[in-house]
Amino acid sequence: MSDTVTITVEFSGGLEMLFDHVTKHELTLSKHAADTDGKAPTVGYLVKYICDQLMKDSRKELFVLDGAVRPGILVLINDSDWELEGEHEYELQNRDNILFVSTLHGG
Amino acid sequence: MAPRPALLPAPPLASSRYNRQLLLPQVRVRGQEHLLNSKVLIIGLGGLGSPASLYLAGAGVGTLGLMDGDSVELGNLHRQIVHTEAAARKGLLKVRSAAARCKELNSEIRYVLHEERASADNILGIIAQYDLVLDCTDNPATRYLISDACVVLGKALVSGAAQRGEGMLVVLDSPPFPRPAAAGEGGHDKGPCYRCVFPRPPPPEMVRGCSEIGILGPVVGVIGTLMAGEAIKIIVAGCHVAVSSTPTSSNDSHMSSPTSSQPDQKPSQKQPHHTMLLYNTYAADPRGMFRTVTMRGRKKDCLACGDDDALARKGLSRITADVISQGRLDYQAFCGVFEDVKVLGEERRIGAKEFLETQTNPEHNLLGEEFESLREKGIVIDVREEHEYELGAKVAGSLNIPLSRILRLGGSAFDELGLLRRDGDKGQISAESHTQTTDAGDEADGFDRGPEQSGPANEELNVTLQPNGVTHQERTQTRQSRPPPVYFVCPRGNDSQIAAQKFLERLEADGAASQPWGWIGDVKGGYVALEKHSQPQDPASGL
Ligand SMILES: [Zn+2]
Repeated sequence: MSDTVTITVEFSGGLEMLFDHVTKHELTLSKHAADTDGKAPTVGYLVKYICDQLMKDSRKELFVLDGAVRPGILVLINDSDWELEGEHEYELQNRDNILFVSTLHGG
Repeated sequence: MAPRPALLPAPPLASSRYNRQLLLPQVRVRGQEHLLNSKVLIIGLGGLGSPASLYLAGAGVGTLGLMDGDSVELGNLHRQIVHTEAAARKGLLKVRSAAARCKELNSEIRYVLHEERASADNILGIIAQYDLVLDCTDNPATRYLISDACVVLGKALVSGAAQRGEGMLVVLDSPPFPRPAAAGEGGHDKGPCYRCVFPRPPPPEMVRGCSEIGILGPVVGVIGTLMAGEAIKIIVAGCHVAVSSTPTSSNDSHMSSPTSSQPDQKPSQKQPHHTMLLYNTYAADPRGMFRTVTMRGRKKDCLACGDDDALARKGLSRITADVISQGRLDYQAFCGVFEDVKVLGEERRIGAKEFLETQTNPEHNLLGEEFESLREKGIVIDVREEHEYELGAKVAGSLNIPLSRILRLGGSAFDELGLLRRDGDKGQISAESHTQTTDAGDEADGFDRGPEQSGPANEELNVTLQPNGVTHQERTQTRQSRPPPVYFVCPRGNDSQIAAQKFLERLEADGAASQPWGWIGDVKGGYVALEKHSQPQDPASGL
């Protein structure tokens, strides 16, 4: 069994601006990171990882607010609302696609 | 009695103008009758409402309601294609312009014009007159209002949105009532509402209009067109009206998944999938330009469409018609107002008028002293994004360091200033040097550079903001004068404060003992204020 999980993380709806306008990121996460206990890292861990490692922009509150993904961002795990997949607790698997999309309101 | 004719005539509708659409087995004469008997309200006649109104008029919706309080503008015609240049010149109301154009397409249906903006006062009375609503508006507060009203009144809602190169589409409150189990078919719950999908609004600083961030016409047009398509599907299948009156055929679900047949007639476990369509014309992978994602279903404790017992258990009270019409819910406050930033103290802020004087009247600069050109004008740092800077008015000689760059790189975003300061000492800064501050490690700023290159691109160059390469001696050789001020400027005087603060933090980190800058602060009110004060005027009058 591999010690890492490789996933694709995407940002859209304007969120990509917080990531240097890069919409698609390949991430390889260790299963032995400090707080994963040798288990597959969860989406909750990923959110924290994105905030701490991937995001260079200092406007963290536009991504995470009060420790949770901020209102108005949909989290989709393999094109399915994360609420249907266990939200934070969902354990990431190889080749998973996690999409963070900010609500659009223009018309 | 005449003998019964051997050949019965085709139903008149079959040979009508709607022939091509009722040829579809999903539509047929019956579906067309549903359309002709339906009443559809389009709220917002902009980029989404333009194609939606044309297609629904063409399809023969019996009554088409158009609601908007705005007037047609030339700058919107690239996407608001139901309107015309003539309407823009006359400043016609959008609903009138749209109705005129739709009538040219189909004069046989009824048009109802609501020349007003959606508000808590009018929304229930208007939506009540219709079977189905298209939300083509452009702000979160109105979207929550429309959704709540649709839930209260039991109307299906087709909701679309678009900005930049992206769009989304979702069908809400559909079906608007739970459908009881019928023979051979499990019943299913009513669909989620806008609040179920988006329980809390995005922070107001993320909400910027199309006029600020831009929108491609075809992108919003595609979403508006799809909205009309969803509306037609719902109506043709008879899903827009309360149950019982229309026993529906096998294609009653406009959502993708068919309901399963269970012999025991218990409510089916298998609910239809609620989906949302995402469209991104600039998708990193073109295969992902259109994505249909599976959404959560209705929230049992949703404030608008939740179940009584679930709400009671949580001590929540439902949003009712009274709550809406009596204005007990402040939708604007719920969605928040973008408040002005207060980062800098007043002593670090300069009014637009005073700032312009420092730029135009050297002898009346901020400090009231005579400097050489650069000293008087100081350094003007414009923190708008690169493309905004390119398209906007700018202060002559200003330097563009986008806020996103400052927030990404922190203090090192200002490294360039070290050089500028030195060049400035040599008098080399020209009035037109809008230097793009791209350092070696930060190529292709502002563009998608793909996953491979997303690594740490921006290293700390560790340049202090001292006059680079300028010896102490050189500095003292320049005329004894105060160091130049640094002015930060942005569209409204919010981002500029944040940027100035970052700059001050950087200086502090560098050790400010011999810092070469004079006054540091921002221009109050940004370009909005600057443009107000820069009208040509008698040069003496401002003094
Ligand atoms: Zn709801």
